[in-house]
Amino acid sequence: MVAAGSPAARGFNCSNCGAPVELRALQHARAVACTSCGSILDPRDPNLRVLQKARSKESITPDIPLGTRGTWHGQPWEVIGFQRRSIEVDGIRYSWDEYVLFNPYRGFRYLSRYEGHWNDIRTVRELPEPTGSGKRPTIRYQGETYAHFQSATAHTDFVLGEFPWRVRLGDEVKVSDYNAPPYLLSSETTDDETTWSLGRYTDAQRIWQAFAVPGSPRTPSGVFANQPNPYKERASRSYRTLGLLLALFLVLVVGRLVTAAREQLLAARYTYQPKDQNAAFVTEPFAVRAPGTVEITLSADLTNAWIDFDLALINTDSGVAWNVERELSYYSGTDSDGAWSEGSRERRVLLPRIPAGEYYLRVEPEGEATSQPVSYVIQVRRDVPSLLPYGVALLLLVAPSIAATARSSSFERRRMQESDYGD
Amino acid sequence: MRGPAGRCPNCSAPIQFRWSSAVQTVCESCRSVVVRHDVDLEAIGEVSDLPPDSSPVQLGTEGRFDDRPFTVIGRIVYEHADGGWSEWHLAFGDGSSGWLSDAQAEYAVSALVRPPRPLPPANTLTVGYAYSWQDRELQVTTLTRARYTGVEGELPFEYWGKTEVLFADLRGYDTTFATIDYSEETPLLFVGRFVDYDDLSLRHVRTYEGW
Amino acid sequence: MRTLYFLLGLLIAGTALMADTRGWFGASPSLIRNVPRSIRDNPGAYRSLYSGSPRLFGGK
Repeated sequence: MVAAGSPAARGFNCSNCGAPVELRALQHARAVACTSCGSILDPRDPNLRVLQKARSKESITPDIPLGTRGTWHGQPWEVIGFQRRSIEVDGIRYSWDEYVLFNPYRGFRYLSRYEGHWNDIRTVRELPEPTGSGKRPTIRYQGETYAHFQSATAHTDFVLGEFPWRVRLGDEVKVSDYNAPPYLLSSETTDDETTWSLGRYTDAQRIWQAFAVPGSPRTPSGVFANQPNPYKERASRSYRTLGLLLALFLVLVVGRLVTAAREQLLAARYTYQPKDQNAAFVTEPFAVRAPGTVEITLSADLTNAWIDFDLALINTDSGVAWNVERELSYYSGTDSDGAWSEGSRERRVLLPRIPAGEYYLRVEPEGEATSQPVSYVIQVRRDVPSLLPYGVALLLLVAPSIAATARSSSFERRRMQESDYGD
Repeated sequence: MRGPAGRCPNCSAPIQFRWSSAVQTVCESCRSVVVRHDVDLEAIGEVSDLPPDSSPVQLGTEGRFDDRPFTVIGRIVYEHADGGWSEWHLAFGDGSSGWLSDAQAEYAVSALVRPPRPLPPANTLTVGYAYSWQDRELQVTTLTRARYTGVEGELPFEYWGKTEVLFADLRGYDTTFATIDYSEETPLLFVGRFVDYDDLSLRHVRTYEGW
Repeated sequence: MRTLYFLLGLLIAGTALMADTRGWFGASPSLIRNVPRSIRDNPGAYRSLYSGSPRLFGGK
């Protein structure tokens, strides 16, 4: 049952082309663009004088047709006007669309669309307070701080339907945007008067549902000024988890380093005689009391010589031998660039998964036949912790947080590209 | 708080003041402006029909502002180059007076206050002029030369036959809203704040076909 | 998402401990089985995998 009351819409004929024009905003409209010829008329003038004659330009079809009614914020709102405006930055024109929504009790609201990003906008009456004038000036509104994003001159390119102000094609206003995602505070200045409006980033799907728009909204491209960053929250939360993990990790590593046995099984000095044909020998047996790693350290005080070791850790009972070969060498001198040195006088070998048992080492050294005798030390220890696995683990632990931060930062960087402060 | 009753001095139709402090009303039969001097009523002029307007508020609308119930009992209509607005006269439960301004469905409620310091004369006023009210910094944001178009219902003062009136709108960094009314010899200061339609819990408003 | 990160983190830490204690990042020695006890008396008889000049095997 339609509620009786004052007529909400009235119709008349365009004074330029005679086509029927419908007025939906009661007495509020200050300008109405004829949908047929595009001329802008004064709806408050009894003769409907033409404010601006039509200019034959492209015809744009709004995503949401004029006259569409939808429930928005729990109240009915009707689309009564549409305009396309643009700014020019570095020689490139960027256009966006605006829809004028009307409700007889609540007045006017606006929806804007740029590259698939939608904003729900309302004029605000409070004055934002300037709070900072650094690289990016800031203003404060309703307890929230907004940072300057972009200033430009907006040019009205196309209009359709009714507007609560005297719109004209070719109108130019200075627009400044300040962002605090998901909000965008914008000012428009003509002559001396400045109007502020607050936009909230809105999912296009909600608008399509509210106004029963056929089809699907296009996916937005790029990042919009007040588009919420979906990665920011994730990144900051990941740091809390990382903090906890690092604390536990630290306890684990310190615990391991402190409790590692580092038990010395053999430490002896030997001399290699170059002319000796039968250089191979075996060490005294030693007990590996628990399964795990066995570390063999070879060190020799070499001067411009090398010595190669053929090592076998042999289990007396099982007869299994673990074989490795390592070479020590050290060369040094001076040339035109200064002193140089090459090689290393000490090497370690870490043998993994050595079962418990009695072992001895078979050693076969070999050096240059013409060199001096080489004195060297062999040290065998078990359960020596190595830091490499923990270094790798640390990188792996930190990686997800770093990745999350990188994604969040990349989003912000793409956001700022559209601003006065981007690249 | 009912006011006195009487007869229109012009057409003898019955007149009932709904508000005890009403000074002026408009006779619904002959549209004479009737001013009350204690018990005597004097007809001082006539008002033409008000222009068609879009305000959803009407005489008899009830609502609440800051938990104080009010009834809309009168109205002054203004027009200017770019549009017009209505100042609806509110009678609060405690008998006090307030004003609900409706300009293109943007609403503000204010009341007459005593200015803490002298108000600037009209000829020195410029946009940006600062005036502080209760530790709040206000600035003049708009200067409007409006034409008084008509009155309706009960008003707390005589207000009729004005021609052009200067208004200065002031705003602050919060919802505070103030107006300096230069229609009288001494400028009047009204202070209040902007409100949303839904904040007022309005009942008995105008209805619109299809809405 | 946070619990998954936490659990994976614990897994990584635990795996690091295992890699350390079991020497997963250690050398890859070649095994010879059934070495007779006589090698203790005659080390030269051990049939090494690295016979020949070490330089041929990549030395350093």
